Amino acid sequence: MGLSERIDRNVDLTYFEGEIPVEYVYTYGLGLETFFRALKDKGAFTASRCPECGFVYLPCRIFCERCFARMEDTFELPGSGRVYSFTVVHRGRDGSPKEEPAVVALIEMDGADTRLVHYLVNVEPGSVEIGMPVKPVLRPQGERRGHLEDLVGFAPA
Amino acid sequence: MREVIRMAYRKVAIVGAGMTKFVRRAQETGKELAYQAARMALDSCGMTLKDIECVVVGSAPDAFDGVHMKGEYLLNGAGGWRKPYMRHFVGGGTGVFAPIHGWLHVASGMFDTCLVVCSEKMSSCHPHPQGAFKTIFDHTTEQPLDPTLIWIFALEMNRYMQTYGITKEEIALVSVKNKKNAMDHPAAQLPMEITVEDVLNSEVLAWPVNRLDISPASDGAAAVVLASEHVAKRITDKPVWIAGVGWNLDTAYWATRDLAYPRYVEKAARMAYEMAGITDPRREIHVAEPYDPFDYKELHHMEGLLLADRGKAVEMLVEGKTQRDGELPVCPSGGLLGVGNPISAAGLMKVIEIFLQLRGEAGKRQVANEPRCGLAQAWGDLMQVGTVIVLRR
Amino acid sequence: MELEKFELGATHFREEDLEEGRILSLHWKPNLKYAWDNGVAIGRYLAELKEGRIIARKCQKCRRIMLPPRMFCELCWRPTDEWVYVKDTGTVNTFSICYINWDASRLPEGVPPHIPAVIEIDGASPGMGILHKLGEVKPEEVRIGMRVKAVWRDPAEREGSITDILYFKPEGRE
Repeated sequence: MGLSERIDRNVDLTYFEGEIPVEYVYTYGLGLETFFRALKDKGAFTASRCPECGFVYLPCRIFCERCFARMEDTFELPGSGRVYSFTVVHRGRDGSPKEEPAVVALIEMDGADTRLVHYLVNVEPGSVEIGMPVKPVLRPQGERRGHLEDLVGFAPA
Repeated sequence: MREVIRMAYRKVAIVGAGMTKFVRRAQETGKELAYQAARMALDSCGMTLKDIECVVVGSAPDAFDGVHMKGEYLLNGAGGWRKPYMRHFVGGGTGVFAPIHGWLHVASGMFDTCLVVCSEKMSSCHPHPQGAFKTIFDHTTEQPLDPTLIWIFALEMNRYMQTYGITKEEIALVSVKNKKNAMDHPAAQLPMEITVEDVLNSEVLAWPVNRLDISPASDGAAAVVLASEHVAKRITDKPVWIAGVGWNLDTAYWATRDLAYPRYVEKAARMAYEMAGITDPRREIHVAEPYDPFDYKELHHMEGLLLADRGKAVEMLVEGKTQRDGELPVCPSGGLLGVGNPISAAGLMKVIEIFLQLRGEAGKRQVANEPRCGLAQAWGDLMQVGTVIVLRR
Repeated sequence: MELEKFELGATHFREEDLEEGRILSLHWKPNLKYAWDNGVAIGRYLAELKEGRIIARKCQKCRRIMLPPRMFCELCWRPTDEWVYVKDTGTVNTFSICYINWDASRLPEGVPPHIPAVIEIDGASPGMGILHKLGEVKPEEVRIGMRVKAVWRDPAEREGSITDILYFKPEGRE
């Protein structure tokens, strides 16, 4: 007799419902704190360069993951870039259809070796092309609060 | 069979160590904490990330940080970029299991060096990290009773006290000792000088557990560097050898276990002692860091580690034998009660303490008896796992 | 390499720093809901609880009568053999008097503490305990070794859950 957990009649299937009701408050950490404060206060894009291998990270970080060096200096980049890849999303997180399809892109940032993920705005989904140059669209200063949504998205340059 | 085990594995040493302070809430992300500890560990023995062949990370449930696939998340802070990398988790036992996991990598002959990192950021979990433990209990047969994590400890402590006739006053001495020891630990979160009365008068959370019987929730990270024999001897003139490792888990049906005695800790200890060739642990272990998330646990574990007869560890405590200048110093670091409890990093902190004690580098915490052999032990899950490591100069 | 020679990481901050915006943060509630399959053993256990009975499983090899019931014996590593009804009375193996909730907040003033306990159920193998709560008893009266009996929820309100037993009370009390 094999492992006897098979249920043969579907009327015998029972389950028990419950939830794990915790919530999260994430600190940004030292690196992203610097980045988002500058984005909020000055609309600036802060990057850091590894002193040992030269790799440039946008947003800035406090350590280089490749050679493990500390990165203490930061500098500004324009925040523009090129579309590396993109997708057009028709359904929301819960599977229901979106009112309007959204374009999500992976953007190679000018001056940096890293890429950002964000929405493309002010653009027809059909006209997006890989390699397309884009520039950031920021909320007005008064509405920025040091959050990813301070960036509305990226639009064709 | 045992002889084969001892012969088949290479000698492995701990050659460097690092840790962050343990704090209630750290601004750093889990990645940044991991980096701070790992970087310090490499700096402490003059190694770079290029010298590291593989990385092993121990970290507690993803539910704490609210980060899915936490091992992968921590990878870049732990130096794992483009390296063979593994993450493990055995509850609170993780911190001592981490160097065991790393030991497996090096002792097997597959790698010559291994970076072992434990990082925890419990403070992200609201309303309280304890809430993430709701389903440590069986989700269907226990969770509907609305249990809290403290129930586990309170139920175990009560049974332990009752079985051996140990009082709260006696148990509180552990908290007094460890928090005082922690005053000499630079990373300590709750160093303080308190009395037994302070412990008994502190808020009753779940009788018999009072607030000062418990270690805090913490953020923090720790790391060690492991090396095979020929590499270790080039890096340092004070390698600390991993002489024995052991790990053992018990059934999840915890209500059927004898709560007064951690049998699984004994089995893990025997495994480690056998490997280390130890037949009389009470004389051959010179300094010990058993897991002390609650004060009674230090005693409970000393008995499971065979360092005291069942129900008798309290006598050693009351007679002062477990102080830093005693016959068998226990938790000279200040333990979790004094230094803090970022789940995985806490156990590794204990391993680091034994490492430093054996090298004579424990500063003001240095024990008096010139130890040459020590052990660290961790424990966790649903009172389920025992992990033990024996270190030797 | 004394720890004292190094500058240790981790920057501490307080709740107020977060609330007052000195430290940036992001809040997210994941909404984790589950429908856990019961399997054969727990499915029957819960169905019997709804009927006001406690059922266990027996392994013929080690002769243990196991609670909660399971379809395989984890010691003998073979399927278990038969269903066995057990009593709804037992002995307190250990207990606690608890003043806090699952989220570490304190019970409000005046609300009596919870009394969680491990209860060894009569008819199951010795030491075979389950987690539940005690009721109709003053905290100071509870003793390890005390005899207790289940107090069942009104049959119309039972759901097929461990909470169909409201709590266990000292035996011999009406």
